[in-house]
Amino acid sequence: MENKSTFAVVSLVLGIVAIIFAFVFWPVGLVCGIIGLVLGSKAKKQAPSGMATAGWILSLIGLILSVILIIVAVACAGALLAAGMTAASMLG
Amino acid sequence: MCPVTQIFGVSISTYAIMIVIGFAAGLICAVLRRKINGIRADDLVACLFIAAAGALLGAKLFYMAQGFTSFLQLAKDTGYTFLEYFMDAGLVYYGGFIGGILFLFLAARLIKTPAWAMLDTILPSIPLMHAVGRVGCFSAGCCYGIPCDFGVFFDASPFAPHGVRLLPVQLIESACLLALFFFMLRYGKQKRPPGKILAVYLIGYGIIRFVLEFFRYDAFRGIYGVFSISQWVSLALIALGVFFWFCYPKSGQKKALV
Repeated sequence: MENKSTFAVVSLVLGIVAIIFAFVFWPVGLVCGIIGLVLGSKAKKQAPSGMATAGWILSLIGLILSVILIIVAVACAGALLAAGMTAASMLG
Repeated sequence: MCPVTQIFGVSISTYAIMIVIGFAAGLICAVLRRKINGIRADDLVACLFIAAAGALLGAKLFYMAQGFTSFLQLAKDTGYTFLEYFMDAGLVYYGGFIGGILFLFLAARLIKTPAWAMLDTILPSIPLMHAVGRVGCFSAGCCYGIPCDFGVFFDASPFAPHGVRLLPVQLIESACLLALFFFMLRYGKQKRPPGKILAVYLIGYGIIRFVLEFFRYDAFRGIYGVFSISQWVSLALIALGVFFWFCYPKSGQKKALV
């Protein structure tokens, strides 16, 4: 039971960290979100509690935010790079 | 055609919007189908998002692998770092597919849910998500096709050459993927032996991608011998699909497939 409530606590903490780091540095948000989600799922099955559910939800939100920001960053970086190449070829 | 969409006065990449819409559509499809394979909704959501994260990482790493020699030259000339390369890297679908499947299996094992049942629930959603994502590629003008008289102009695109009609291979692939999605939906209406639905996807998409690669014209793709990297990967995945259809699981194998 000790390990099972630890999963819930760690999941909650990682979920909060994931949400914060999704905006600051998405690789950390992504990793924390994944680990938090796995631990939250295990905690919900082995010792269901409000904390386990909260940890699961926050980790999921952090993971979703990281994923969305990766997609937006890739789309913007690709457009900027291509626009730069187009401008360079026009000037060159 | 329309790389940027205005939503409440904010400019947002159309490509990003279509990926999010495609993922949401795939998620809804998987949730509605979960009872066929006896999957819990929260396990499905957790595995799907972890698989999405794995897919993005795999797609980035595949992109980086394709352009690694150019990166090494740039690093030598300008001090461009590996972290900068990672953050700037684009996405390649096959890397995403492989990364997604690996992370899905890992997540299913860690949260103790049957991995094959989870995969069979999610797999038909993949061509659906991909089909919508290819519409995003069409909007952005990336992954464009060869010049042709009946093509379209991508003059608003930062990726495609301007002033030349290009085959909208993105839309052709999107249509083929939708057909694959409906076929897999029908085939997956009942529980199937492990590996069969995966085989259908690998063979189906492998053929689609192999053929359409001959009509792609975007420059940043590795070419090795007579085929592009994606064509070689397609051939490998078709072979893997044949293996899963005919040889997996082995007859007489009694161990539980989880």
